[in-house]
Amino acid sequence: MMNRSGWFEAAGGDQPRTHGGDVAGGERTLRASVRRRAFAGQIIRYFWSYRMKLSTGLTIAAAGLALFLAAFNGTGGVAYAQASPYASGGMSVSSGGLSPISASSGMTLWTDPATGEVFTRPGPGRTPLNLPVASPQSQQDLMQKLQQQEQKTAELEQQVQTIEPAWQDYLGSFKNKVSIGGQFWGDWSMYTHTSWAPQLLTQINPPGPGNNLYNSFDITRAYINVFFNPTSDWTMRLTPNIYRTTGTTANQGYGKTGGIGSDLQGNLGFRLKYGYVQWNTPFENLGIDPIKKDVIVLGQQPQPLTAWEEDLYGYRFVNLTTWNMSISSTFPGVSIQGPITFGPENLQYIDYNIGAFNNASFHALEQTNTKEVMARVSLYPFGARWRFDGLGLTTFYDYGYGNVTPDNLDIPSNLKGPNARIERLAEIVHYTADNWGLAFEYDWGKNAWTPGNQYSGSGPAEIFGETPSLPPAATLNQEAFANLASALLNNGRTTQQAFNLFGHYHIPDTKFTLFGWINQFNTNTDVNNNPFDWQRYVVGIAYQYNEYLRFAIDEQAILYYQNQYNFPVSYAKQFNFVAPKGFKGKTIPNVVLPDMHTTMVNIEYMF
Amino acid sequence: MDVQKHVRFRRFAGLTAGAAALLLASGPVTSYAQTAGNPTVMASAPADPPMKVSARNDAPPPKAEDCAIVTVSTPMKYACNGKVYTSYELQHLREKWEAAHK
Repeated sequence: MMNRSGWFEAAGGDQPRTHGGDVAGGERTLRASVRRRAFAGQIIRYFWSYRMKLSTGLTIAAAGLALFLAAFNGTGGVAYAQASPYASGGMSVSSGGLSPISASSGMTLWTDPATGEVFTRPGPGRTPLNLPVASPQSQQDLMQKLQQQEQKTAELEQQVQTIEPAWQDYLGSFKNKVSIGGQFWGDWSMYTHTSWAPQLLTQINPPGPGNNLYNSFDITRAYINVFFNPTSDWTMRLTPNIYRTTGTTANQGYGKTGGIGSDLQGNLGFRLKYGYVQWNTPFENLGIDPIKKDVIVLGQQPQPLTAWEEDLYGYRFVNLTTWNMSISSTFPGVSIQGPITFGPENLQYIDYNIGAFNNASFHALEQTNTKEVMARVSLYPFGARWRFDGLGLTTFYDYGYGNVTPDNLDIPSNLKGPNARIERLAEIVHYTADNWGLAFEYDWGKNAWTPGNQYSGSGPAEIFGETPSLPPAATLNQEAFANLASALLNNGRTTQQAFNLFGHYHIPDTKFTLFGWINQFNTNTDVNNNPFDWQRYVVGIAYQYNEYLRFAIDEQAILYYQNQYNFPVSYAKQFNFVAPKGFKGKTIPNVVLPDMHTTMVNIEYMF
Repeated sequence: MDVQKHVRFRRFAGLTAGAAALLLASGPVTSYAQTAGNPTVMASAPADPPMKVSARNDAPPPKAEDCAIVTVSTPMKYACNGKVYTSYELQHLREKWEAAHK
């Protein structure tokens, strides 16, 4: 029976008006009726079992047909319908649903347009109502179509199960082309003796003399390492790192009468440490096997010495390397680097890194119209199976200029440090085995050590242009001391020299390794009894917790080499010393600062 | 003053020499010449799968503390017996061996 929507409902549900003579009798008709209802039941079960997954026109049509057949072979045998609208509507639906199937036979009923009644035989005032009826052949075709559809659905389901979701595909590509890691260095340091001295680790700025037992928890490195390798021949690296935000800060007015304090002082901020692209295969197709692994790097990158030496030493999370106290580890520029290998075993005999860089490091604005050239060449006379294997002889040379704009060069100045050329040389003999390593390093420099380096940890207020809270006479003496530091360390013709010995030894069958670094640093060899000369020692023991995590406990010290004395003003003037206004003394008193000692507990987590 | 400085310098030189002597005397020197008979692999050369090595002779895999540091970066790399391993590889080898010997 058709409902108002034009769909058929099960017969008998809506007060059918029956007429005895209209009932279609006979065994054939009954069997056909049973068959049709059974078939309709199959269709409904089929439809139900697949729910709406088979949402195709064919399925809907089949369901419609099934219901149609059921309706017309119901118990009443006569369907009550409002013939004019519904019959045509019903026909219309049936023909639409039967369109894929040819209805080879039809059924004729009669309807009274005045009453809307439908009859099985003609009579006065009745008009024929032709209805299509599916023949057995049509039903067979339909079954065949349904089976085919069922098979297609099964295939589709199998395909859906085997299809890799898009997000999985994306993550797979991401994993193979992007590498993310991190690096954390932290410590707790306790200064039994404080002093003004070079920085022992970056981001650490202990106070000066008179603050013994100062201690702090520090984070000295927090890298986020991201490497992108969309193709094997190019790699991009981005590495943000923390830095201590110190410097001039100002509070801020807020509204008409209010204000808020600055929150910039002392924060650990993030800045870009490394940002470069690396061409991995520039020499791969040249047919020159010894250099086929060499690379070209463009961008903000490690300069040739420091990162290499940190890896050679292995304990950078505990202390800085010596030249790194003078020169930043990172510069924007371009470099070529790589091993040169020979022989059937591809042993490394040369490892080099040569580049041209800004004169300004990664945390400064480039101001020059010149550039800085740095080169490191490491020779392994017996061949190395890996980067530092066995005996190595390394030379590093750096030639650059102070970071000032060209128009500054013409301005007359008392001290020429900022305008002078800068040179750094390192000669290193090193031997590395699995369980120990030892290196001796000789350093030589020209204009490579300034008061800024000398007091990178902290220094007298006058060095930084600040006025100390001292009595006037003491303030004047500190100003004279600051001027002396500039005269001896920033006069544009200073020469540096340093001797270093560093290494480590793994205690067999334990997780412990002894390590140490000692050096003597002459800040300007042209000065007799230079009060700024210093020695350093680092002695400690490290514990390797696992492949990613190390701890260390160590003692570090900066020892000023000279004994205390007063520096003659007449001698200081040979280095362009200018006495501060009001300073009448013939000597600058107590120019040798006290030693600095600290005990540290360090941690490194590397992933 | 000069005498004191001389004494300081001698102390520094003595400490340096002492440290060098300690390190040199503390263990056998492993050189390439001594290990040349073993299979050698460059850092970037494809190495034998380390798992096969440990599976063959059932020896414990190298430990990070027994290896030299090659690179402190992402990933950390270690050199053990002439072969270079990442920290992930060493971890994997260690865990696999530990699981097999529980």
